[in-house]
Amino acid sequence: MSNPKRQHPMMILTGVIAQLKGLIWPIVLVLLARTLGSNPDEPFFDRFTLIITGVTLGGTLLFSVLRWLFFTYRYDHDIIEIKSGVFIKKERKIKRERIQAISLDTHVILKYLGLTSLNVETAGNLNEAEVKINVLTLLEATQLKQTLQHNGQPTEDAPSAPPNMVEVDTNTLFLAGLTSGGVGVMSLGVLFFGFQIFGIINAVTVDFKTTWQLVLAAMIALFLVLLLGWILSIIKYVLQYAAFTLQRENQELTITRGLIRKKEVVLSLDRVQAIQLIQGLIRQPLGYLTIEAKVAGARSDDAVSATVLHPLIHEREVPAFMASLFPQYVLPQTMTSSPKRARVRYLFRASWFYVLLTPMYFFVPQALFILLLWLPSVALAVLKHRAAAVSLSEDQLTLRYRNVAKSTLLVPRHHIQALTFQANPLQRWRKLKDVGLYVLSAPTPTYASVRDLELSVTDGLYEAFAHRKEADPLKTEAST
Amino acid sequence: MIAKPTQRLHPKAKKAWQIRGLVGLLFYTLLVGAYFVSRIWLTFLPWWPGLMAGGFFLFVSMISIFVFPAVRMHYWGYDIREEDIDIQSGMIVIKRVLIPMNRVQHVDLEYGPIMRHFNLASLVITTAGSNHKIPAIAQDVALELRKDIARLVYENEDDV
Repeated sequence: MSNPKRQHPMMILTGVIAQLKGLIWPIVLVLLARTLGSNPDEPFFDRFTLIITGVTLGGTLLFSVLRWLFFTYRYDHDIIEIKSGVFIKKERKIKRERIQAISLDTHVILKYLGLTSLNVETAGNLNEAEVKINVLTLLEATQLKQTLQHNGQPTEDAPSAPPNMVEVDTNTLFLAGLTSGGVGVMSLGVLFFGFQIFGIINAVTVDFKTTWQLVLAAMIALFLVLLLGWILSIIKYVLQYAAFTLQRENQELTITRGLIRKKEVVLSLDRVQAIQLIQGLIRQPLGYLTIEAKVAGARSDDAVSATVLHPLIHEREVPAFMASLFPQYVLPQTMTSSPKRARVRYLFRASWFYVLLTPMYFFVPQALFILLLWLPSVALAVLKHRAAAVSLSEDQLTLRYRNVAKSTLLVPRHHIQALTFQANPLQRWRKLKDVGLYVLSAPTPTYASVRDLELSVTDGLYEAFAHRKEADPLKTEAST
Repeated sequence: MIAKPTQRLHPKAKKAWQIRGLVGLLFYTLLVGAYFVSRIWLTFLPWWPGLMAGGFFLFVSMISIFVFPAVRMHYWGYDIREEDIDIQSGMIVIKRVLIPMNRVQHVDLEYGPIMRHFNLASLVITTAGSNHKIPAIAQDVALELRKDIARLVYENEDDV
């Protein structure tokens, strides 16, 4: 066992910064209140303010020093032990086999100082939180990680140049950002800030001569907002997934990504419960899709974001990707689709709401504009129906369905938590049934379903999964 | 067509649900009554919302007393087999769920005062990703089932 070690002294500084971050809004609020209600005769910073500021800063600094002082860790190849706490002491030992994932999280500033932070995640027991060592040298962190992961044997001995490695280049990422559909959220952000700015520079109000000019101005403004939102969303996406690599070594997946915040996550393969191929509406005509994993027992943000296995991959590269990294998953060649006669049900589901609104059209003729929304939802319904399909292989159930994006969910049989079949009276009449399943994922379990499948297909699935042929154990028990 | 599950809910369940419906009706009656009593002082309140709510509650109660229990008894059922649990539920949308035995995390027994009076209980089966209920079976059967499931889960553990 190594001697107890402290974190890098930089921890004191980052601790102070982290604490101050939390105080930013109160400070801004106080400053704002002072500027608004200021008396020109009084000095802006009176003694009272200075004292408060001094005490806060001093206290934060002292607390950070103490926290650094009382935080020690030590480890050897099968245990990591951490002692922490200024007032309330905490000691935690984690055995190697309890460790689910170790991840490095490097902020860009720390990176230049050769520092990083390390998270150790254990199996999902809520009150047994993960361990976080905030600041330690990169060397130390990699060493610690390797010791805990590989039973003390450094990986340098392993054959280099692992074949199971995937990298994503910047062009692909750019395309991914371009088609990511993050425009909406970002545009809202832009709009929000736009209003703030316009609120301040109210002086720049232009006199619009006609309503026509006003409409034109509004349209240009909207266009600019969308454009800016789009550009920002691309930048955000590219930064988030820059330098994306995915690597498999035996039973471990290593995912690294990020430019400003470099993230490295290691998770064991048996935590991957299912794999989902997602194809958005924009990406579909281009033939690109995203591959994600449903990961069990992940609670931290790190692990949740680690679920992206490939940010953007072309359809024809998917089989090779899956074969090299996840050979146990099958990409079904043929799938059983929802029958043609079920299309009417998809159209019905997309339309009943608008039909229900009919009386409103008579009273409020303007409401007819709502019907403009009906057309796209009908188009989407047709696409949804086309996507709906299932496939069962020896030990994998595959569901294909579309909400907006088309998803293909590959679930190994033994990862299905529960399989559901359901039908409403209309479906019973048309001899159709929905199939759904629960699978573990972070942060909440996933329920996925395919609607309106042929009854013979769903019955086949039921027979394949239910072990009805064997005698009922309870009955035999009762008879003996 | 897949056959219905072989095990049915306890016949007393119907009565238990009807009593629950009656208790609901009593509660709604008090609520509507309180509205009309309050009109003695709060004279600005119109009479029609009380009547509408009353009518609605009466309708709901009648259905949940005379229709739902029978329909529920007709559709609900379950089977507990060596390797899985099979539950059929629902009244309008009929739902069938298959839970592999080795996915079961724990099984709980639940009962309210009415259920307890009839010696009935609900069995709630929890997996890591979902939970499923078998309502209104005899308490001793429920206890027995829980024991059986625990044993079957244990036996199935090896071949995950």
